[in-house]
Amino acid sequence: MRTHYSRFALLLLLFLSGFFLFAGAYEALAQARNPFSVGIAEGGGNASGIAGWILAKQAEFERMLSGAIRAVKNDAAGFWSLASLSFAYGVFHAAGPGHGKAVVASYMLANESALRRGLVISFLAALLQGLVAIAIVGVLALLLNATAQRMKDAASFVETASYAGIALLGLYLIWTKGRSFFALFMVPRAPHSAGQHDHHDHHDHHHHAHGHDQGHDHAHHDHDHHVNYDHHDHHHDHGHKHAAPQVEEHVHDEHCGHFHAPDASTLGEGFRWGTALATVITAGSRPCSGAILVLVFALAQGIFWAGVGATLAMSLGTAITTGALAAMAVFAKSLALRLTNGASGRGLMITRGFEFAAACLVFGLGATLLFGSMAWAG
Amino acid sequence: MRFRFFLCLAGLVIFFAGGTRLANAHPHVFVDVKVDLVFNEGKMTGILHQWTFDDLYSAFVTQGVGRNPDAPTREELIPIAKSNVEALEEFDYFTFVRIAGSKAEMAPPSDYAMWQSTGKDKLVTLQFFLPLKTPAVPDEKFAFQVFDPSYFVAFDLEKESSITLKNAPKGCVAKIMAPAPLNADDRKILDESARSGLAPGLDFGLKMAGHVLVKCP
Repeated sequence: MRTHYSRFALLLLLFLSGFFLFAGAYEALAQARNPFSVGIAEGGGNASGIAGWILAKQAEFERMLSGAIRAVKNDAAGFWSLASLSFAYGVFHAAGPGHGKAVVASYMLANESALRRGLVISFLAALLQGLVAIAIVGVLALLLNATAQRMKDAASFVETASYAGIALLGLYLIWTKGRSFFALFMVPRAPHSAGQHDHHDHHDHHHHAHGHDQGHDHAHHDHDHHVNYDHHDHHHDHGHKHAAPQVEEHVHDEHCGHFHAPDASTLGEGFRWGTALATVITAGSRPCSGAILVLVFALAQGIFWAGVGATLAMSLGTAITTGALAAMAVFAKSLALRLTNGASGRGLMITRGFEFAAACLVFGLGATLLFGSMAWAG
Repeated sequence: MRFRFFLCLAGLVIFFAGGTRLANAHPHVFVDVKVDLVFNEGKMTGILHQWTFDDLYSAFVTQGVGRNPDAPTREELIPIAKSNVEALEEFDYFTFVRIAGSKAEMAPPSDYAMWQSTGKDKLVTLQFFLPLKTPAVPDEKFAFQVFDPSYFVAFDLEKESSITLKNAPKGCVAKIMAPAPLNADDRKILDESARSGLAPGLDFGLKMAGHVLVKCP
């Protein structure tokens, strides 16, 4: 009964995440670079008019932003109200299906289970997004006095490059996740099913995934059996950690094959921070139109520094929203894993399949966006 | 535990679905639209657009232009107007004219210009004339809309005072019509779209946006 329920839940989660990720990608795709864009194929989706009142609020909000910048020009003390406005703008602006968030969420689903790192990744991606906008406007407009067209070109280039980066990251994740997923089919099923159940509850504590960090590694002997399922480098570390006698003692545990969310936290440093860094860069390198507009406007008012401050406040707001999303991805994943009873062989297979699917999503997203943007550029 | 899982699941769904809705209505550029409906010998020949951008975009589009960056001249802004209008072709100039229910063909635009107001806001206006391929007498079935289906740009054409009839026969009027109430089928499509987070389809922009009716006796 339990498995039945939880498999359904997991399938539902998988389906929904895929659905919304592609809905987001599709909408981004559906729009060519608008002639009045700032070089980013960003914006709204369709004129459904359902949330028409939000539109009116949005117009008001933009006017408040430009008003706040003007106020700073007269009195620098007005900066704090500009900063709070920008912060709010960041929070709400990020509440869309932007590809950056899609990348972070899929990466979290595919890879990550430590909440703290998820938050760090979200924060760094949001910060990078602000810094890229500041760099584009700072270098091109402030230093080189370039035209809007040159800024558009630069932003478009960064955008296309980030799409390519997402596709590459997806390929890499497919490679690693796919290997561990398909490896499961290669492992002959030993007739241990009776013993398997005995161990479920015993292993449950391994699935308190989200809170774990390095220090809280459940370095139990029975981790050794993962060598059979996973081919990541880090698993070899386990092998080294544990004494041979223990390995022998617990060979019967093999089929528990529990997915441990702390898995990712025991990854080798280089591996983990490599993909995490790639996630930060691909998710965060595309600047947001609002930041560029605010920066150029502040520059035109002769107070570029206020634009920089406003952009950083926006980044902070974005970080909070993206962080909340990352946290939800971590919680949903770890809870889904507990429900599917990841300790069972089938649970492990679902888990790996799930991660593999999330990896495919990252690639699909990157590829669609990349080909979409190249098609429009032509 | 199961409860918490579904809480998170619900959170994720709301995040994406709700976020999609939010982002749907998230324009970055706001345009005040003024149109002149130009007539010649009793037929309407086209639409002269004057689009005034919001202050943020106005600053962006004039960045780095002109010898005096605070006040670029019309001459200095002509290349910008030209490239903007050329880029608009792919988007049907955001202008959708319907004659007797079918989409009217438009000819390439002319008379493009751009200027920056000298006021405090320094708002930038883009002007261009968009001719009808075939001049037509506006009968009861003549209507047009100005909107961006992607909502990146929010076009504001809500006041009848923004519409001027130029050289029109006596008795011609232009009226702004609010969107017609949706029928049951449309409502169902919208409901589904709200649930799925997917767009209801491009023609929905037309259904939801108000339009301008032009009528000559």
